[in-house]
Amino acid sequence: MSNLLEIENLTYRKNLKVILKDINLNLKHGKIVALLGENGAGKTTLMRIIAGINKNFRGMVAIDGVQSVADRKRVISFSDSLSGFKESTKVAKIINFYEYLYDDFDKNKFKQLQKFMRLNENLRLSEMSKGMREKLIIALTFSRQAELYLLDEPFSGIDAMARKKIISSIILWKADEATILISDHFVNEIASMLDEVVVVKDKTIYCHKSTEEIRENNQSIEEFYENIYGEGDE
Amino acid sequence: MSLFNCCFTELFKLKTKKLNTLMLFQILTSMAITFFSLYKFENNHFIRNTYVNDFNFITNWMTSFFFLVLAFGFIAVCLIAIFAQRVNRSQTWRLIPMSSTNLYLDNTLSSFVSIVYLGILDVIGLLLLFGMSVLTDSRFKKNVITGFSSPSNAMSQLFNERAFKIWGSILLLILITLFVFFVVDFLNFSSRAILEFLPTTSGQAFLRVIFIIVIVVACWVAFSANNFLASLIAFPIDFVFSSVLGIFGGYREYNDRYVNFGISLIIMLVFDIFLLIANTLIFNYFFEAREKK
Amino acid sequence: MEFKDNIPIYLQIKQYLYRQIVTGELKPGQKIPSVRELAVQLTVNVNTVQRALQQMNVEGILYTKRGEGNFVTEDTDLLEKTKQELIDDELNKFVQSMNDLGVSNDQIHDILSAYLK
Repeated sequence: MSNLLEIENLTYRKNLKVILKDINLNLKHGKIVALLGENGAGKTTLMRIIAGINKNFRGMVAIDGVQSVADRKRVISFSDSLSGFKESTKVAKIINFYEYLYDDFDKNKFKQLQKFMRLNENLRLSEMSKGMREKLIIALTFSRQAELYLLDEPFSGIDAMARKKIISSIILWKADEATILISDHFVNEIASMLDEVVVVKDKTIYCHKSTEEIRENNQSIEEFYENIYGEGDE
Repeated sequence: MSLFNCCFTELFKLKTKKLNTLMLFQILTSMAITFFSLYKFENNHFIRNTYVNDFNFITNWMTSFFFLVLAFGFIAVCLIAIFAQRVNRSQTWRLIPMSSTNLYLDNTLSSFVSIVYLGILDVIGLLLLFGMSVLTDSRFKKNVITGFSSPSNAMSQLFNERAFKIWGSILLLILITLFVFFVVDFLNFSSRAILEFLPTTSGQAFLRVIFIIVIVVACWVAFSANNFLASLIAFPIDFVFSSVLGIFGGYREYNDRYVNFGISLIIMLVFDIFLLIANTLIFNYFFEAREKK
Repeated sequence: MEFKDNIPIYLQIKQYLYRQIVTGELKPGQKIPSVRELAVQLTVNVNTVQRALQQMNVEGILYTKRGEGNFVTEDTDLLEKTKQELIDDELNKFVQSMNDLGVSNDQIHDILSAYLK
């Protein structure tokens, strides 16, 4: 089966510094993949490039073989921090915005997710805690029927119990052919649901392995990751 | 509805909401100005200053409202231009599955149409006030009737030689409004693009201000050096305002300036097209949304 | 369900299901939960569940009815064999543990008898 995401020889510069260099990555349909790397390694940058927000890069990025930015955005759902809305905006208004501007936004699915995460529609953004806001962002991201979901540190403000619940909901509601790329620091909790792991180190893709391969070597994902970064230190 | 239209509608709604609030301020301010110019506080109650004029409150209100149209129009353009920058910089808007060009066009168009909307509100307001004045102020009513019946006054001339100037002035106003939006976009886009190209230094905001000042000063120098250009740009603005305001006062014609007027229209159009293309290119390839949080 | 992260998860899922079958929680001929239900129950990836079930199908302990899902086999011999394998597994682990604690194989018998009284 053809690849969902293909990145070839990607290099990205900003402020006269190289942020990402010679990135080559292929992701297939239907996988849950973790994007791991230190803070500042370029994970967010990579996701933004894939989503079409970061521009002026060298190399090729294609989704289902299509490179055009507008077409890629149509099938990619990126966890947006909702910065485009005033803090006084009510959740209901945000839902209307998404419904109106995104063809593939499924309002019923959102209602289910909303109930599941206990989000109050009448709250304003400014009235929500960090955790609630992140739950809203996840609900909005997954209410779109996309082929590639990009989640950039979606769990940082959410407590452990809620995290488990949300992860189950992701598994339950993910379409079979859709791929999820998550960058997060809480490797442990998402480890059991990962198909593959991509590690970003030294401005490039250090490795891309399936999780079962790692476990067959009797290593946990966390150990595997720590080993990678441990090597550089001594 | 196509995505382009949906996006336009959404942006338009947001901008007109702001302008509605602004209009409210305009109404209140004009009322306040009228009140305080007509009345003074003496002996613990308000006395009418009769030496200002003999027209009633509503007529005076209409006049101050009319003069505020320009001031608030300018404020509106500034407000909308600044809000448009927020949209340009926002990840939420740039994730929408449309090309950057289309988003920029939607943003600019909705800015422009919202100003037109404000203009329409102004016209409605003025007509309402005009109607109320005529109904309530007998003296004003008399003036209006004499004004309309007299054959050699501005109103009949309006439909003759003035036709060209009116439409030309409107066109020029449109081009100037667009020009302001484009210039603000351009300053924002180019300064940010340059800042993201250069190595990071502390005080980026400071550098941006410096950059904008440099550009503005450079333009000023270019304009002063080029008198012809300067007078062409300054002239149409002056011309439009004196010509439009002059309808009620009866202004002399500027016969020889038809040619200059046409030239200034073309120059403004060229500027607008140039900036539109430049902004679209920078927006497509260099101007990125702010990273979250 | 807490899975160890350093052993392939599909293997652990298999173990989990074997236990359920051997202990009678899943009866012979009974339909097991769907792939998706299991994935959510165990908080694991659908692909991983599928791999486990596929292997169990090959081993014969599960069989698929087209359009209806996966069912536990009714083959009592196979079930017995599986039960025995699980028991052997546990015995292995127990003996290994005891050895690690310094108890030799000869001593195990006595210690166990004493404990069970």
